[in-house]
Amino acid sequence: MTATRPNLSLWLRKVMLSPWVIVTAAAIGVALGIIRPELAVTMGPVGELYLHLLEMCVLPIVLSAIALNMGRILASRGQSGRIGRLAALTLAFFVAAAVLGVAGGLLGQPGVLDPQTRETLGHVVQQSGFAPDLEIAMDSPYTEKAEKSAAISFLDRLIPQNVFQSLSEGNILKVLFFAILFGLALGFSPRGQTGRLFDVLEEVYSAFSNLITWFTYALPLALPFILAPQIQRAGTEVIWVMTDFLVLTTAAFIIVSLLAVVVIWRRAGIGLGAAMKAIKEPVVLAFGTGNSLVCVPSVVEALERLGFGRRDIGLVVPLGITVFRFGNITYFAIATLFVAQVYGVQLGAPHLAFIILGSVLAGVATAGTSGVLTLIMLDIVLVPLELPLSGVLPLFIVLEPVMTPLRTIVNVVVNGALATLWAGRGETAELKSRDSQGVVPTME
Amino acid sequence: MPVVKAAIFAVLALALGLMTPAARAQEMPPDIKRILDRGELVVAMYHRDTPPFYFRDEAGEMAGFDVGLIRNFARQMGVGVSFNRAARSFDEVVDVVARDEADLAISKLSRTFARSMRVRYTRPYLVLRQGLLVNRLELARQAAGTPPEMAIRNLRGKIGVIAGSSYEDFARQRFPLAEVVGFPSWDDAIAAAASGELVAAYRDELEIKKIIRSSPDSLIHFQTVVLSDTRDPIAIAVNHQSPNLLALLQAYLDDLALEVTADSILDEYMPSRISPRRSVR
Repeated sequence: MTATRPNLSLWLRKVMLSPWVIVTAAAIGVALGIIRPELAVTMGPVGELYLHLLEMCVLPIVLSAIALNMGRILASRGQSGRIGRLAALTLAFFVAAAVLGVAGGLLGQPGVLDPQTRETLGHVVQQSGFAPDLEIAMDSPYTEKAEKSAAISFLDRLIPQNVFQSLSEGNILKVLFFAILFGLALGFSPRGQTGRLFDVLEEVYSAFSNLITWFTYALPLALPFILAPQIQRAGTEVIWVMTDFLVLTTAAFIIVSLLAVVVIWRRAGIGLGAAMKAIKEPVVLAFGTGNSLVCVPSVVEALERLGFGRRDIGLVVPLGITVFRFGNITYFAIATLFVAQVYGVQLGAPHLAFIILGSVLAGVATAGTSGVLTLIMLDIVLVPLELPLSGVLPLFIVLEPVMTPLRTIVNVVVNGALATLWAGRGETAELKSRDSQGVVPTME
Repeated sequence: MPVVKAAIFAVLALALGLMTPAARAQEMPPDIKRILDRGELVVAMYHRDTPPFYFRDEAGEMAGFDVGLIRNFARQMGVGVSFNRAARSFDEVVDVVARDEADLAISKLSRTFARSMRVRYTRPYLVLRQGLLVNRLELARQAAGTPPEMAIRNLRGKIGVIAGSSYEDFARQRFPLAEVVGFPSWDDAIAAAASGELVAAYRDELEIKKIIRSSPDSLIHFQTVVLSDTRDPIAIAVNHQSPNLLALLQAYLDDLALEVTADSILDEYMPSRISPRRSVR
């Protein structure tokens, strides 16, 4: 019995998560979304149920992984200096992601539109219903909403008042904050007392990561149900009209992801092909679910198999995937240039420097948000540049079903690269013996 | 039986008598009588076409919401309609009626206090709100991160209106910080707005929304604003010496019980083109 289980698991993983199966399933979904939109609408709820199953596992995984690995790292000696190194690495990655986005926007000129395209885009904006009339009462006194300062409102989004409330609301940022503090506290507790709690957290993590693994075997079956409604909602028209923007962002995402793969490859000291193969599964998962947090166990496992230290990976990957949205940063940089080009605003070098800074800030501000809220963070870059968002926001909203999976891939892969740069090596042997999961790590 | 026959005959005679009001013109009040005598209702109208209210269709015939409304009225009076389109501005449309060169004016005409001192208005058959077409880029500059409501209240820069229209005065009252620029036509004002010369163009919500419907790409560049607590009552004007014509128009409008809004008129006359998404399906 025990011998056949892992074999079945391996076989399922090999077949169901093979790129060919995934691509076929995705193609079926896209085709249905275009050819049978009315069917696609009815498929939506099934896809949502599947995504809910995956999301169900996200909070326990983030909480256990971060508390556990934070605690373990601090419990071992001489680690404090490494936090500064992580901060420096992250900052460098942030800037790199923004610079690539700005370069792409300057080279690709996605916002320079011919009149025909402009008119079709206007149609899309009009039909989207996201650009309503602004109704203003001129005579009644205007009451300004009391707004908290930016710093306070950021901390407000970070610090939970009641961690169980944050957990039940699925407020990932607050849970993360709690997990870090909890891990810190565990790390400073005497070794003997916390050992058992570490074991419990380890078990929780591994149970939920098993669950996600099992659920992902059904990904090819669920993928048409996820993609068809998304394509139907996006509408094919906007995809054709926004081709320049779409191709450019995709190209930028691919370049950023490839750079990340190069980092992983160099760090792992294996062949390039092997490195790509190792991150294949997280990428497939990111594309299929559009939810980077769901990919945490998959990335952790892939990097562990490449021989990186489990504690380090287990801390940086969930932390980074929650907070460091590199894909969003690149996207915001391109989107800002798109808006400036649409409105014919000339940007000088200081402006471009600001876009790099602003995109990083806006990208970090998207931590814990999803959907349209993510896009509204663009205002962080646009307002100081005196560029309007409301006129083109509908275009971004309509494109979102296509952009989300691509941005998710970038978030996942680049965070993987960041983790490999920070993580130590050499714990693998110890881990292999400890590993209670069904899958035997295989070096490829 | 003969009594029934006589009764039917009497009813028919009465009906025939009603159907030829001109024949009974002698008993009519003077302001109605002169229209029946003339056999024609003279209608003052602004010289430029303003679809969907009044315009020449492909056949060169007058058509539109206002035209239909007044033709139906004339038909009930049993007279024809002729249009006097000499007026070069909306104030001049009122002048034409005040000088008694037309029986009435229907020209998507706003009822204003100043005009009401010279002519008499029916109750409004349509109440529009005022609207602005604001350059998004300029709005973003003036708002600088604050809510757009404040920036619009304190709008600076040039606001375009049609010269001699009621909006020229409204603009001066509402936007004291702005410079009001009068244009010979709405098209000129819109062209100036599109070129970035103006911060906003100011007219009723219907004209504002019409621009978005006719050229959708303008929605990327312009924010449509509706001033929700403003009223632009659209009514028919008659000469102050035509109280009976006014009462007749009033009764006509009351019986029609029109319930129209800017959006319902646009949907009827200028339906937005079929969604590109739907055409793919």
